[in-house]
Amino acid sequence: MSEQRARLAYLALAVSDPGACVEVLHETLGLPLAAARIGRRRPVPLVRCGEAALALFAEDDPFLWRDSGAARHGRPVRGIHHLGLAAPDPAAAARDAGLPVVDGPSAGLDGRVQVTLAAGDTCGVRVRLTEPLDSGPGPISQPTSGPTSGPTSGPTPGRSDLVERIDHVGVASEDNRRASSIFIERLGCVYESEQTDSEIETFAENFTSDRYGNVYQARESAVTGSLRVTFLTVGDCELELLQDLTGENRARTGRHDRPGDTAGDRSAIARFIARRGAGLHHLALKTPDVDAALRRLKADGRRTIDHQGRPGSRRARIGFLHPATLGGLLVHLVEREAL
Amino acid sequence: MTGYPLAYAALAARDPAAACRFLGEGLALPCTDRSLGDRTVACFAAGRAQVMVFDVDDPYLEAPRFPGVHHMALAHPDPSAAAARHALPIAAQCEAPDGHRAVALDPAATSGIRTRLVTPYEPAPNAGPITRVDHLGIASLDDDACIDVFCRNLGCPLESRQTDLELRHVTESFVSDRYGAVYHARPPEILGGLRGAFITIGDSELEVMSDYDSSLTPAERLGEGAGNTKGDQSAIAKFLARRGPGLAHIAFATPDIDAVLGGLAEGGWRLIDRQGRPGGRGSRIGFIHPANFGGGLLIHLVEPSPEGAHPPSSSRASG
Repeated sequence: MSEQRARLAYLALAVSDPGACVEVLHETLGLPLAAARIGRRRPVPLVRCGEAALALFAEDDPFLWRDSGAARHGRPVRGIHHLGLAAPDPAAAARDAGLPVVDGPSAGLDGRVQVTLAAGDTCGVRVRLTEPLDSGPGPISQPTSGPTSGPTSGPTPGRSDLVERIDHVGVASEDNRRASSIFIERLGCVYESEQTDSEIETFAENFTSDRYGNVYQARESAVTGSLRVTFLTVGDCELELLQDLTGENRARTGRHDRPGDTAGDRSAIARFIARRGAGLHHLALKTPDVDAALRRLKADGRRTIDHQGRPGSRRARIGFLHPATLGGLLVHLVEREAL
Repeated sequence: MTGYPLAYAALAARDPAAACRFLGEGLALPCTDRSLGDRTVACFAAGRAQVMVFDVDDPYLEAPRFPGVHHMALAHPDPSAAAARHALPIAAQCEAPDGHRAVALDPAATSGIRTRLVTPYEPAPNAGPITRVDHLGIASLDDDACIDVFCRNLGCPLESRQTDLELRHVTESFVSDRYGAVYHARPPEILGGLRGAFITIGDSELEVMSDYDSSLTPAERLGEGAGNTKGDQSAIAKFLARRGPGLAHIAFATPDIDAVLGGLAEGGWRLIDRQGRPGGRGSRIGFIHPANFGGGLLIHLVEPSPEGAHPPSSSRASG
């Protein structure tokens, strides 16, 4: 596997209402719709997104929880369930990577053979290796409403005017170094970049007198939140490993009713790890215009956390959707220029 | 001299012995015992004024009684006539320590500031590190009403007005090995603040303080950590909620606040500030913990700005 560059075949999403999510991704954001089958008959909605597909499952779908994950955590939870990484021969790829298989080989999406790796061996990230899905481009159905991409010459990968592809898949990580080495050396990801995001708070006092003039005094500064963020390329998107560097468990109460910040982001990672352990955390969709995408969502009555883009990693502007908008998934939009 | 000078500030302490030890030993203020009925009152000279220490239950102090600065007395040779001249209603006639005549004014007429007029005392010489009472702090709901009484009616000069604000600045930094460094500063946020007006009474001032914006709910408590404007605002807001407007603290002036605070720390006194921090009027200030005196009595030190209204040479009592 490590001889070959990793590619994301699909991302399995466990949501409260797959149909409602399809509406948001397809009708509001304009991504093309497709379908896959599990077994002979059961259809699973797929939304094509760049070179990969988003597979939408009900949160308690037995396809998701047949591995040891459900047993360990007691009950199925919403969120990004697993990465489906493409491998022509999944069992051989797992063997080459030296990663034990806990389930399979068995039939996955559209009858493709897949194997499930132990999440404990991949830093909490649930990974399945799968034979490539039918990567033939072209929408199976056109969006019924929403922005259209105008006249195009020939088929394109899954994209719309508002969403180009997956930008990254966020991972709540306890140890970015260890996760990087596993995903790079064993699973064929490519190091993209690493950064440190910090939020620094400074208190100042300002005394303004009509006789004694103005005294401005800044006091000590304190780091209120810090994250190490490592990006690893997988296909046309990245894994974003997020490690809280603040070194304390004091998590702020989560809030979804106001724009986010670095202190809030690091707190969200700390809380996620405390509750669920390390693993897949959020999905980011690359957009050419974050403000337009947020406007479009709001115009369709979809709830968002950010009302306009704010600064994010990699010189991006980002904007979060409310988790209720996509069935419990944490999703944000990313607008950034290529380097 | 315009207006009326401060004759004395009456401190009510749960632990008067500790308060006397603090003023006499900690601050080296000279003490005179003055007789009041069948007892004596410790009177400490500070500049041209005195600080008198009472037990919180002393009958000389009218109810409601609580530890703190109970009342102030302004000097005039004929207290009753002065009250009448300014049309200020008299709540009680009383005899002040050492047989001085005094009248207690109705606090409703003085913005809740319990004020007496008293025949003047002779200032005592004072050579210690404390030069005078810098100010008496007043928690106020209405600065303009205080200014009306003490400046317009009683003729005390309005020394200065100021606004103290505490701000939070947040900067986010994104430092990448590939995308470079990006910094974003968010707009400053006002956490709290105080408006202050200083009214001269002799060699001291009334410091009239009100909440800058009462919607900025005080969150922090007055504690062992060094103080700040937000904490000061919180202290004023708490005082107002518990006691209503009135005298809230007393501050002593010194030319070297760090030396005095250092000496107090060595003497085992609990301090809120271990060294001076910026205060009003270009000064540096440092608070003494009220627990030293059984709680409730808030005292701080001030190192006034050299441009202040009371240069040390002119305010030290001579005689």
